[in-house]
Amino acid sequence: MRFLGISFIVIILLTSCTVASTKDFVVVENTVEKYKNPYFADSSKDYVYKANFEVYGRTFGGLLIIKKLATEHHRIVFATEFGSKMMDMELINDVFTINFIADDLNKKIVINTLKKDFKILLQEEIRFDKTYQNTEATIFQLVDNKRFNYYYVSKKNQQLVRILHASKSKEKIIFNFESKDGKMAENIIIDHKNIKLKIKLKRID
Amino acid sequence: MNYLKLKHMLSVKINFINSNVREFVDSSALIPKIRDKSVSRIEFSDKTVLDTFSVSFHETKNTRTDVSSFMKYHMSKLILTFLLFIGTASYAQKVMTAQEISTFKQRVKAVAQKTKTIGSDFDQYKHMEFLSNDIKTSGKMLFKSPNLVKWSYTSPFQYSVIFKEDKLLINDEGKKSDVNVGSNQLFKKLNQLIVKSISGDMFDDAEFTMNFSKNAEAYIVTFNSKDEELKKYIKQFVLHFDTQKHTVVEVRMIEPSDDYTQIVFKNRKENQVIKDEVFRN
Repeated sequence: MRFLGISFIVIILLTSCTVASTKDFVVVENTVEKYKNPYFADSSKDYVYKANFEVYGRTFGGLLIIKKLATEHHRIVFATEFGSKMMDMELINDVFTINFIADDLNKKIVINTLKKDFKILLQEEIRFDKTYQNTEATIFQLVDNKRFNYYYVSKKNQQLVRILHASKSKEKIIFNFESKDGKMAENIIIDHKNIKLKIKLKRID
Repeated sequence: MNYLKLKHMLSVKINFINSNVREFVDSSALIPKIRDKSVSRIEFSDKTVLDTFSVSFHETKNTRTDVSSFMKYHMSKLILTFLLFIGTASYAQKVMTAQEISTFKQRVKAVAQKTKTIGSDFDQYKHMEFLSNDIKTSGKMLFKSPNLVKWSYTSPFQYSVIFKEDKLLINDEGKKSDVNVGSNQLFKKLNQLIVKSISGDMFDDAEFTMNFSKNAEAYIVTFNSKDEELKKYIKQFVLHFDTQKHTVVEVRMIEPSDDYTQIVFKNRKENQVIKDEVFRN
């Protein structure tokens, strides 16, 4: 009985929790059905970034190269500044194929973390479930297997400025974008909230 | 003209071209394909550096093949293509004779022994088959005998790495870090290779099989990795040496996928004073 009581309290606590950053959201009516992530959407472009990883106090860098090969089909390569390939993978819809991975990176936790990040970063068409607003942005919510992806589109310039990946109660990953024209992200920061991992991407021409 | 005649003609042409090209596509394996495919074009692409000889068949929608009609319509085009190729063959690679190799090695070693420092600008091109353009980065390389090397990338980002004993000293846009690579045999090997390839003194390395060739502009040495670990990352190093100065002008590192990194050196200056402080982070 006592256990049942505790369980109820836990359940109530859990369900009443919401992610802090969504508290000022106001539900609005869906005016469109889907949103298109504009970054990485042009197959004629090579998306090349200087990448910097901060992992548990250590940093390392390299080049991140992304190319759209077809709709919902991207090639992702991570190489050192010298050009040696460390990781080469492809994402087709939700399916990852690893073409090459250096032994040092070939660890389940690394692969799974990167898979999740790139899946969110590169998903082009978002058939969202709800639309919200706050003072700065229109936010599209996509329910993704007990997780939520919130796409923040700035009211000021209609640019995608953030993707928040969260559970019902916790922020998991925040993607922040800076763009000049709304089509090419100049700077991207992928900030993991549940592990000490921050990925900074700076576009190079 | 029947199929056998065509086969014979192509064999003669191909064998003639073969005398100018080191890597050779087996002509007998090539010819029978014509019987099964409607060939609209045959291309011989002379990729001098990669030293490959590729023949591509472009299939037309018409699956039934008539060799004689192919001959009528395409023989003149084909001969023209061959002639063009032969015309450029003088620029293609030629295998070096044993005597040439021996002289070349001696000269490279003599130059390397006299070289105490090297300062050189470089352009690096990362080629990946799926990209629209190669990724170009540029910077300056400094070498001080016997084994200090610094690569400074200045465009399109600021990044430098110093190879020093068992350490990599990195300066990533102002952020400095040391990476200990003492336990990483692969990295050690790569470092040794870089040092040796800059100084041009890598002919005694038992870990590679070597091929020597030359074209109008350079001596070209292809190093094939024997080491299984290294082969996973880089299957082949191709070094171009200036024919007059016998110094390395280009390094190409080819991955198992055939994607490659090409480093082209320019404004090379030798034996200028480079202080040891330069190799501190």
